[in-house]
Amino acid sequence: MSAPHNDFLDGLAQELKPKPKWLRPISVGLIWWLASWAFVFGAILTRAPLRPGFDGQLLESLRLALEIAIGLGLGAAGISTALQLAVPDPTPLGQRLVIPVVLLASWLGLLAYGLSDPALAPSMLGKREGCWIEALLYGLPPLALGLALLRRLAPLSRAPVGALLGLTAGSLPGILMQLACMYDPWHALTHHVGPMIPLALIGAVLGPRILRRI
Amino acid sequence: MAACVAYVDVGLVGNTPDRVDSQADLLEARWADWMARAQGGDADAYRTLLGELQGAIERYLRSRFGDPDLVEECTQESLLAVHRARDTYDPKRRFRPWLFTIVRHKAIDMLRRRGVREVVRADPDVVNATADPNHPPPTERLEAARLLKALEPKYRDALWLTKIEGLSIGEAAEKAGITPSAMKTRVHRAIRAVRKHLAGEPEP
Repeated sequence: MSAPHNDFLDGLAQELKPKPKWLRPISVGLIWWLASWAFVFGAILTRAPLRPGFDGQLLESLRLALEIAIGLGLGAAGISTALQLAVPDPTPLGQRLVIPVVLLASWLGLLAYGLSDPALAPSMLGKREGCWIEALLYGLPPLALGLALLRRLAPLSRAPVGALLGLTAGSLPGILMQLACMYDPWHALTHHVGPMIPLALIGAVLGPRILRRI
Repeated sequence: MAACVAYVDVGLVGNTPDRVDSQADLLEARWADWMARAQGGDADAYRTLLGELQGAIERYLRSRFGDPDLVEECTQESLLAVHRARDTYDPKRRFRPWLFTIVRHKAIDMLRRRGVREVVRADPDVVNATADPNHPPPTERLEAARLLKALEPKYRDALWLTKIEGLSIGEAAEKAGITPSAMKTRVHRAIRAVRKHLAGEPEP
């Protein structure tokens, strides 16, 4: 096992440290998922309670439940894909993004369909002033956490990974606002889901700056 | 460590394809094993792995770029990238796709940074072609460059004018009889096509 002397390679070998036990995609994903949900849930509840009767509405309207389920699925698929993209692999980027893109399109499609046929009767019940600012602000810490965790890995396409993280981070308050704020599909699209766009842009800008260039 | 030593003397030269396949599998298993040990903190296994990877990466890059300086620089950068990304390797998965994704990424980075000019000049076929007293036109010379063979003529010309002749986008556009923005698009697409070509190659 003895190798010929080479300063460069010897230097790299001397820097070797054992891989931290938690640094596996599944653990990183779980850390992000639990910490981000805890923060978003806590922040939303700290400001105001969820919309009165949201639980009954979830049981009543299959479409509302489906909207929430797809939104949750988008969050899970988003972080899982971002983690996959943080490990060097020859699979093309577009192929990796299929599941989050399909879920995002389905979520937006359901909300857009609701414009003509709402899942619930639109109502001002539970309206939160400045809910879009809340959705935007509450997405920032999950984005920051995601970038900090992925910095330990090796994403090769840093801007797309940053954008995906931003989109995923924005989906968390976006989903919860569907239960915390008033129900109206147009309001949901513009005020709850809309902030995902600036978050994705922030992620795309921060990604190449924060994520490590290998 | 004895298991590792048992793999060490497997050569890959002068064998039948089937034998090469099984030896390549052994090589893969050996690298995966050493990287798994390295992730556990075994610096000895890691140093041996890096030594072997250096040779493999050099061979891969030399067959594509030719020029020793470019190959050396890209090999070093690739090894550094492997070092930085070492914790992302999953020992349950194949090693070579992981490794060569990194190497290709670094090669493409180099292509972007240093421009295609040096890469093309480094190709021995191109160097021979340019030494031809008849001095064939740019397109014919570029045909010899492996990495550029897949390009459509308009993209090859765009790369030639901007990266090899060193013209500005405006000058190249004027020469090609197109607008500067169209020239910019062609150069961008040409680089992207070269990158795609490189990315689409199977692992050696």
